Amino acid sequence: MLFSLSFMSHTVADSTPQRIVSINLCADELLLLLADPEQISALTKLSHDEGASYFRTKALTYPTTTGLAEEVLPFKPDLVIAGEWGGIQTVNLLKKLGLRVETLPLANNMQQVFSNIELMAELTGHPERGTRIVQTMQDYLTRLPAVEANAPLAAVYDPNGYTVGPESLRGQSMTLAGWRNAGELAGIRDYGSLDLETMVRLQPDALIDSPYTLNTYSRAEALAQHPALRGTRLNPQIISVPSNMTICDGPWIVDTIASLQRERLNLATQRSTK
Amino acid sequence: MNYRILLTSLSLLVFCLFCLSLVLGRDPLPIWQAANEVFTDRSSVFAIILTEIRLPRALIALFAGATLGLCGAAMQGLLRNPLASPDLIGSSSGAALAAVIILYFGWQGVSLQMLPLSAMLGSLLATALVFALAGRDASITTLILAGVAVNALATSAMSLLLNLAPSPYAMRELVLWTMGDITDRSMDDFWLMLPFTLFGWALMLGVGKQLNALTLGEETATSLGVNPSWIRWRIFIAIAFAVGATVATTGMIGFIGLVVPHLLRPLVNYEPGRLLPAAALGGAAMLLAADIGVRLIPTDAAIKVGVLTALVGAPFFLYLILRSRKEHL
Repeated sequence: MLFSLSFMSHTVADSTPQRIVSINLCADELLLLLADPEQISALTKLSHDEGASYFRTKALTYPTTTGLAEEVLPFKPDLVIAGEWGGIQTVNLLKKLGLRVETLPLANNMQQVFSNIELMAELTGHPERGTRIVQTMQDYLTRLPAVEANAPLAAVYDPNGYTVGPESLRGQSMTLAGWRNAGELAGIRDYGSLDLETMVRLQPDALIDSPYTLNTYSRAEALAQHPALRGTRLNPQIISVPSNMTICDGPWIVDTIASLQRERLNLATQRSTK
Repeated sequence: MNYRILLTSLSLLVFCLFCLSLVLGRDPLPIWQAANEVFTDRSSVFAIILTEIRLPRALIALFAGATLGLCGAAMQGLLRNPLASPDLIGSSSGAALAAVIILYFGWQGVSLQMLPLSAMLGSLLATALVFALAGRDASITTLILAGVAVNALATSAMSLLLNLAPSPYAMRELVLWTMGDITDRSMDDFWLMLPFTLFGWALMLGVGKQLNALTLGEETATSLGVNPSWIRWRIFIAIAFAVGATVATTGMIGFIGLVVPHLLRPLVNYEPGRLLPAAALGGAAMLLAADIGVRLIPTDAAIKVGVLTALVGAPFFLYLILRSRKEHL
């Protein structure tokens, strides 16, 4: 059943790919950031989705697939980029058909964001772009002040009390923005959930949510209405980070940190004027 | 209905669905061009889509569906219980647990065959555990209880892994695997599944007459020369191999093993022996049809075929129950 696929053979391993197909949303975003526009052949359907895609406007000019092998093949890609999770069967099949498939890992900390950007820059044949972006991000991060001991407390609060600990990207960006993470105090390492009792006990000053559909009644708001919280003096501020900035990692994480920092300073002024 | 006519028309239906399965997809395939290119230019995109993507998918649907229908019919005939399904002896949940373990620890990258082979092993281990629990001369009740216990154990272990999943994405992948799906399998997956499936089917050969005898009760059947304990093990081992290979390749696809035998039973005059081949064909037709269905339903996230069979299967099952109630009144 094996036969040679002429168009799929890549003679020089490190030659710059010219027909890249991404079957992962986060790979889409990094491709739009790092590759030359003409290097990209197709993106995922999600890249056209407002709630998910950070570079949606740029993405609109490209065709999309739902990530099935039979949709990918007609583009005759010389590089397919997949995510770490999802589509194992598709990845196996594409590899078996002789395509070059690379995997973009999931970033759980800032270091992995850097290495993902560098990896994609390398794969698209523009390592210098990656180095430059990572350098800018690092410069920004080193200028951030250290977290103070009495820093305000925040919790990431997604549907069903889903929250993050220090070993996650969102947890790390909270800390970098000068917040203490309630998830960490509750003993959560990477991903977990916060129950109401813990919330009442820890009394976070802010809840950070990331609603997928804007202007809908979010879980964080619903939680604030719970009698257990209304009864206490607790009145957490709700900070919404657009979902297209939290679903995938990339240089925009710096903007997320900046906005979280701004919210923290706002809160400090509000409290001091009271 | 004449038995021969029934089998012929079912075969025709399976053949048509198989061909449709090659033609239809998210994007239609210019089938004549593709078929032509298979013989002239094998490196063309259409030829590759036809022979390396759609053909394995259709073949797997055919064999997996036939296995589920056949094993469901055998199980219902053996246990003389209309609620029996091939999942009852633990092979499905064993295979699913093994697959989830592999995915959880990220070992699927070790080799392309890692996932199906481990699932196969999990299926055999689970069935072996049921055998060990029940003992050699177990009664049917003991066997069912042992099966239920092993299923519960495997399901709870799976839930534990889902609970501990390293990230929401990992959890999603684990859950989706258990839903049953045939997209983007390769011919390698099919070749891996084939020998186990055929071995299981071969063990089922000749079982039909003994199942017919069993309808008269175990004692009468014994006096007719049937060894109930022997036929029980034979069917169980056959299911362990055939269903194990199926689940290892496709994940858990529910309701085919349960519904198809019911659907066809009146058409074969309630004879379990005649039901076996009919249910195999019926199962293949149902899975092929469901797999065509999931391609044509235009959703962003592809619907898993196991979800569709359950969605169509459950209301149909309700209808069967209502109808049988009316007949008994």
